Amino acid sequence: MGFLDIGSISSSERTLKDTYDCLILGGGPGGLTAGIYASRGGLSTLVLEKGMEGGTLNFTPLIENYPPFPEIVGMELAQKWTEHAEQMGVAILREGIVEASLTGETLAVKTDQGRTVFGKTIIISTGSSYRQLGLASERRFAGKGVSYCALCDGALFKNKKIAVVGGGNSAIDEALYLSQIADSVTIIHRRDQLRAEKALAEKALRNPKIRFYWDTVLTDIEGARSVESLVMENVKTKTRKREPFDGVFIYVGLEPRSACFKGALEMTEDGFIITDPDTLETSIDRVFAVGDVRKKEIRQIITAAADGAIAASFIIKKYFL
Amino acid sequence: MPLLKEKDQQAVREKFAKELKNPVKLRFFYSEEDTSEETTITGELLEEIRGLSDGKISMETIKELDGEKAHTYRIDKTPAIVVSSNGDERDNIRFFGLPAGHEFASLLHTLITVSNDYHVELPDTLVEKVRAIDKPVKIQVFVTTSCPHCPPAVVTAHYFAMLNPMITSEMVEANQFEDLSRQYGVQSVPMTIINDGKQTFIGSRNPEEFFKAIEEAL
Ligand SMILES: Cc1cc2nc3c(=O)[nH]c(=O)nc-3n(C[C@H](O)[C@H](O)[C@H](O)COP(=O)(O)OP(=O)(O)OC[C@H]3O[C@@H](n4cnc5c(N)ncnc54)[C@H](O)[C@@H]3O)c2cc1C
Repeated sequence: MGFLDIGSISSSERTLKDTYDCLILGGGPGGLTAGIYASRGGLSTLVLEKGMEGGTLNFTPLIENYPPFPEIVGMELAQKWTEHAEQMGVAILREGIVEASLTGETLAVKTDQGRTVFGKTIIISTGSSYRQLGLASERRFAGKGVSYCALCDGALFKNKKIAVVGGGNSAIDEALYLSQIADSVTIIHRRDQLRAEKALAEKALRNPKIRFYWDTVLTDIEGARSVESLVMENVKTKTRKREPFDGVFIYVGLEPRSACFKGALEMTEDGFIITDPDTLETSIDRVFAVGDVRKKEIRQIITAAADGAIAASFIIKKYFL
Repeated sequence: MPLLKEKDQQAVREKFAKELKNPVKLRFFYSEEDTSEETTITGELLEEIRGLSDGKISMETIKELDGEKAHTYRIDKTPAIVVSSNGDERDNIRFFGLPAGHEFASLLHTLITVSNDYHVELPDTLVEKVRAIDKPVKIQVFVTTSCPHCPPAVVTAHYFAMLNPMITSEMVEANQFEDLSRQYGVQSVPMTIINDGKQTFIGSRNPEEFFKAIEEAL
């Protein structure tokens, strides 16, 4: 029998403090690692998590580049990480942030349960979610053959013909996973080569169930009640074609989860939070950002974890020693 | 060989010792025509869970799909699980299909909540509204076992059923019931169907928004 989830739903009742030395918003690799470092540094630490501890790890079928695990299922890594944090005394509250007040003496966040929690320092580690292509038909068929979660919906496309849009690491990861379930996977990519890391790309190129439409963009999705065919355009030749497909999974980039902090913090046009590159402090003192949500070059598990360690260590040094 | 690894057994045993209060009843329905692996494994899995509960969980296994019991409990497909407190005969908290992967968490949490006098974790204002429903409601939450978003949807639906016997809540594993999934066009999970399609929504919603969909279906 495969994996069994024992702990992901647990009673959320616990005694909370009003104010924490370090409030961490989001419990992915960045947030949990920050929690471990802050807690071991003697700070009272609370992680607020609206979904599942481990964050995006829970949605990653297989990880091959987080040492020292040559191969680990995302879920398993998420659970180990959470156990580690809890062992180190990190408190985790299963509530989402809906509002943040980052001005004035005390920093405060409001949760979706109407609770207000105060922090002497805050680390934002809310990560990023998927970006949409922006087609009207994409919205119309969301959940009806258009998906952004291979782990969730892949199993519903057994022996079907599906497409994956994108050419980066997540697109290829997901295409490899889907190739175990679907009859065939067609990767639609707007360039003539993959952006994904070489080892991953080669695995996909060698996979007999995966084929590639290079220099191609998805321009429309058609069907009556659900996805029936995709309309694509070759960006070089400008030729269009329509081909029957049962479903399409879209991985074309990241959307930072930074809406709560708009206006308060300096961000890029796309909404990535700008930090000091060495300390990860944002444009507001005592507020830090780590992992996928901040402006950075490489968004990976290991870099999110490193960010968490840096921010928490610097907080201890600057504000608590 | 047991289905649960040694480490998982230990974790479940500890969880049960800490969180189970009153006796809970598991009713497991299967049929002889249904020889699927999922059904066999469901029976074994439930038996193992029962064995880890220090006598708090009892189990009844019911074979005939056309028998009297299946009729009484409104079971039309297998494998099916009905959870209730040992003292009552409620049949409105249900699982169809093998609750593996993430749905194992839904099952454990359901057992624990039922065992704690059906004490649900919902805001008081919402609890009152759910209790006030006086028409029959059927909620089907279609899931896959590898879907991390799905357990919260199942648990919310089950909470509603725990609060009000007029509400029947069912987890349906979409792959094991392909025809039913096709009938409702399930291509993304969780997908929630209220009163056979009066209202339908995809994705996980917070309990208040979930409840709004029920109100709209009535
Ligand atoms: C399909 C896929 C495959 C990938 N494969 C790999 C890989 O093989 N190797 C690798 O190194 N990287 C991989 N990545 C990238 C990696 O997952 C991310 O870089 C990493 O998870 C970032 O960590 P994080 O802590 O910044 O954010 P996340 O892991 O996204 O965690 C953020 C957390 O914050 C929570 N949150 C968000 N908003 C709120 C709120 N308002 N209130 C409370 N909580 C909130 C979320 O629920 C989430 O749990 C992959 C990504 C995807 C999508």
